[in-house]
Amino acid sequence: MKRAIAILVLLLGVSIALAISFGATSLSWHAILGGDETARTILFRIRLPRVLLGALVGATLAVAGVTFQTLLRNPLADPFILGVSGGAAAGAATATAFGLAAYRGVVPAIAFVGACGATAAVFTLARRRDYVDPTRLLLSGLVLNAFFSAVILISFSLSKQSDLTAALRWMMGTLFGAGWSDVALLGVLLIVVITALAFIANDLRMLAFGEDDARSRGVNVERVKWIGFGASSIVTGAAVAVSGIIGFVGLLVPHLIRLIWRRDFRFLLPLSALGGATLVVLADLLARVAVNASELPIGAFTALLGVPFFLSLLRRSR
Amino acid sequence: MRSIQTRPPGRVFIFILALLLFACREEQTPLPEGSSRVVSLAPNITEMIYAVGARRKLVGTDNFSDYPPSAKALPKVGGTQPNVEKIISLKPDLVMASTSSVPPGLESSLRAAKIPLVWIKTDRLADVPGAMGLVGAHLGVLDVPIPVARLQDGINKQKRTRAHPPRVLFAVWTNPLYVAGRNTFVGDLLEHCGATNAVTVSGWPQYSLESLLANPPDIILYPNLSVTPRAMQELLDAAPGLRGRVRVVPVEENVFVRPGPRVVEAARQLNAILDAQ
Repeated sequence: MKRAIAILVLLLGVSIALAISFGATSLSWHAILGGDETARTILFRIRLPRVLLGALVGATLAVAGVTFQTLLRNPLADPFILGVSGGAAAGAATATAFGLAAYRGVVPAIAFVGACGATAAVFTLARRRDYVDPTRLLLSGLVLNAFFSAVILISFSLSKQSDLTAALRWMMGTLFGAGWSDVALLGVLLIVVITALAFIANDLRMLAFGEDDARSRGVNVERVKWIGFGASSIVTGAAVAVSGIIGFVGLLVPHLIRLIWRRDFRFLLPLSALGGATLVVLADLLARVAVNASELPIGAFTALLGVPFFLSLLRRSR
Repeated sequence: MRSIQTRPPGRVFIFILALLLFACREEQTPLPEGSSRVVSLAPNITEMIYAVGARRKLVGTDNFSDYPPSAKALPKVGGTQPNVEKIISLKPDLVMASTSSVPPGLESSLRAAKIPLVWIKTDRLADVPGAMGLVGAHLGVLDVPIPVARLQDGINKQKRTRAHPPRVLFAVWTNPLYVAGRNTFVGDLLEHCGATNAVTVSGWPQYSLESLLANPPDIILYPNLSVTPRAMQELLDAAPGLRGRVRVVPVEENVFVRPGPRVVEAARQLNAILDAQ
């Protein structure tokens, strides 16, 4: 466990160092220490907050993914499958279609409301008396996703061509324009959520053996579910609100960690956070430097980086 | 239970093959000698039809065609994905579309309705006069060389060479930042008027804030309908250090991003902005 954390902290450190060192423009230490105002602005006000926001978004998505997978005892569960991200994107697309993209902060706020609304809807649909059925939850997520896709498609068709660019921002995901305020907001929220999840980590670990088993060991299963889903959804909503949809992280990273270290939730939580942060920081680095002066969609690179690694591990573990 | 009869595939197979071949054959719809009812699927084509004096032949346009103002009153056939039934109901003998927005399936469905379709290409500034000539020729306008020559002359008159070319960036969208690069219609316009495009890459790239700061423009132009002054302020907030050093000027969007007869007006407005620098 200690070794695993040390390795991942080192990996994240190297990734952040690389991501800060490279970008659309090349900066020399000489220029930065020598007081070159442009170089300093690029480093401290554009590149650094963007790299850190990438790390936070990656950690958030991976933490939400591992929590959903544990709660549902389903390896497919992640914020996307449960419709949380879809709700955020549908909210953003609808707001854009109504021309609200022109007002600062409105679209991210509606994206956040969309994510939380989707969670509430999925839960209401999946609930039978006092009991949340994992299968019904997954199924509700799938159906809601279909509904959100419809909303997004209609919003796109109604949007002006210029607004399409704004709506696409949410669908493709980007860390463009990340500022320190985004870093602070998501950072604080993520710390609160990870703390909350750490408190129920032991209960979540027991939940992995089945709900009846956990109940007989004195775990308040419903309370654990509410805290787990609620905390993960809120922080996912915030992440989608600042960066749009960045795929594969929530699904891929926890599985990668399990394939390498095979540990229970108490270990998976910090390891996934570190792994997710590393993946998104590296993917954003590639998105920024792959083509001269242009930026590419980050979601493509999370998949390009993560999937081959994941498949090779999967083959070896068979 | 009856056994399923198997017939030799012979005739049916050949029939289906013939049908497939018939469906796949490259049907070149003949171009008419001057059409009399035309539907325009792009605002710059609509403006060209007016400019060559063939407005009486225009029976419908896309939803975005709003200039000259009387074009707003014409029947509309849809936006980025036009409604083919609506087009057919207007009984056109020609449809004109722009190569810069190709609606999927338009070509095949119009072919099925036996309505000829002409693609008009206006990706670059130099394409515009020729494209207008083509529009006029398809509409049987005999004296089309006159407005075309007038357009070319107007463009030529706006050509400038400046001793200290201002560095200009044209922001199409601000979050994320999309810009007009080199080898585009807007990029051509900047160079034609004696400015330097602050963007060195080609096409319409998503542009990084770092590049914006590292190659700071003297002037940022933005289209007044897509980008609000507020969005532009947010971009300047996100790119600290630019404020105060750069002049931010809104431009009339429909003049600047429509490669049509109003390019002369766009160049005139751009020259006025650059002269004030």
